[in-house]
Amino acid sequence: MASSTTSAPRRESLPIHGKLAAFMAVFFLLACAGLVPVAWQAKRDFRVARVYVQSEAEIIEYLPINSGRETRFGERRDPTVRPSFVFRFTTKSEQTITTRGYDAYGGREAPASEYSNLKAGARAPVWYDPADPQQAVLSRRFNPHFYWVLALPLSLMCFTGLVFRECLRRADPQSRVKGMVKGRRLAWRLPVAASQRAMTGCLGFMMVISALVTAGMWMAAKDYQVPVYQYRWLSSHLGFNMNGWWLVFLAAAALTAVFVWAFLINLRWVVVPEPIVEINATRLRPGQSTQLYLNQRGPLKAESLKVSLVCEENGSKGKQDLVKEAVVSARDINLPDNGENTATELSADITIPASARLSCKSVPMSVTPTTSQGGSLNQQTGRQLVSWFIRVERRVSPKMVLQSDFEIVVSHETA
Amino acid sequence: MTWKRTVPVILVSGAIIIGVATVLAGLFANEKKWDRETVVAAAKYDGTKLIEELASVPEAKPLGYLEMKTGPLQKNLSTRNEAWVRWEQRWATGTSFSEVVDWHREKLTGKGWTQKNEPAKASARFAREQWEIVLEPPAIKGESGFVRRIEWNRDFPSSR
Repeated sequence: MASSTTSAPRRESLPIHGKLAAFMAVFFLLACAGLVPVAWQAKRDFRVARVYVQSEAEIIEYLPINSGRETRFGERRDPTVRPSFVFRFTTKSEQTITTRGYDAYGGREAPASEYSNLKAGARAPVWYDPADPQQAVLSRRFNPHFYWVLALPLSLMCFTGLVFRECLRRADPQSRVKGMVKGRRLAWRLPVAASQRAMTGCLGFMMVISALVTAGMWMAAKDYQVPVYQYRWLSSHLGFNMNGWWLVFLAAAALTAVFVWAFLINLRWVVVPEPIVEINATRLRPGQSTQLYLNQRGPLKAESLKVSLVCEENGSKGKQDLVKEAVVSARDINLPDNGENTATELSADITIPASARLSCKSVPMSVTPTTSQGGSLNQQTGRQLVSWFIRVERRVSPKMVLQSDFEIVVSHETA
Repeated sequence: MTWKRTVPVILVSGAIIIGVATVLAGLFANEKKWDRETVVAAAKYDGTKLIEELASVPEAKPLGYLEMKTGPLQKNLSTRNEAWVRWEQRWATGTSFSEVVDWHREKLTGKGWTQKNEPAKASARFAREQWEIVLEPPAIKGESGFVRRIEWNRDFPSSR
């Protein structure tokens, strides 16, 4: 132990870096490239809706685009037919244009009912781009669910971006807790790191996002309400083609319902104030003791209130509690209002175990190493991130525990 | 950099370059095919209308089928911009070849067509933009009838 305190400060990298970072960067760029066709389509949709000029076209020929794969015996499997017409029209500047196409999506997912009446020789409205009249469409149909394609590059970008970011981080001995202020009873008041209110807020945010996604799915499903040749079994009962989107909508709605339920359950406890936790030292050495003070105001009715010292490890092996020591507890808390006189106050001494692992967090690689922190990572056998907390648990019902975490720092440097 | 590292880098880079080139070549070929199909479809549509307009040649009867050919037959990089459609029909007629030419001239003049007869040849030729109508007299003197060839060629009129 003594030798560890005198050794020069060392920094340990997280287990992922280098080659994985390069790999993720390549996939991130590929995902960025995936945005290009979507942006191109968005630009075309905008121009079709706002810039294209109407004229009248003469249909010359129906030349469908057949896709699918051919078997060895010349049969076509998974065939899809996209409409495509050769047509001719005259622009406002009396220029005769002959071009080919149907809509802004190359005929993808075009309902057959829309184009089945277009025959050679027929006249139909056409919209053309005045800047490039060869770009013309016979249908100004907007296909909103095309933009769900965005989910693929965006999710890939998020995933690869986050992994890439983590690759450029390293483990670093933690020196201080942000947001710590002077306390009233003891030297320092700890900021809350994870609280019931924050969790309720997250649930509310997820609920809104999920509701928006559900609304999008609903619009996509509504968009498919066109007669088709082959109904699925559920569609045949409903009377319109679901094309799978209603199932996605129902799944999204179920997920939203879960979020709403969880949010409402937790919303009840938002009125319970966060406890105030104060200690006498901002940094604790292994084996060191310090005083702890807790103040819990009402309104709160709880079966028990428990304060624990917790050490968590985050790393490749996942999150696990290395230490969880009950420090102090109280039973049958009944605080009817928020008055100062009715608050529950608890005091205790906490002792960091002598064999405690030091606080270690992940920081960007670009941070210049400093020597002022001192300390060493010799005690750390792996490269995991280590966090220490004062955890306050309030059991408000047999199944419900409100939990708030207050971060502390364990290092060889004291304060 | 050692060979142990260079070889995989070269292989991966080569594979990526070949893949990208293949995709680009495919897109280019598809664009050319799309373009050719469009102009040929328009030409067939216009040609059919023209043939209907010129169907009632006085005292003449078509012999056999109307023969239509489209090209180029060899579609490759060197012929990527070529496209043509040709209709040919033999006719039996009781009138003379010059009367047939006169009838066509009457029908076509005023619609943008110009007659471009070559002095050395007996055939009559009418042209308009990318279109050409050629009337050929029978190969054997004294025989009645004529051959009418209507051709649309993307290269017209530059090649004429």
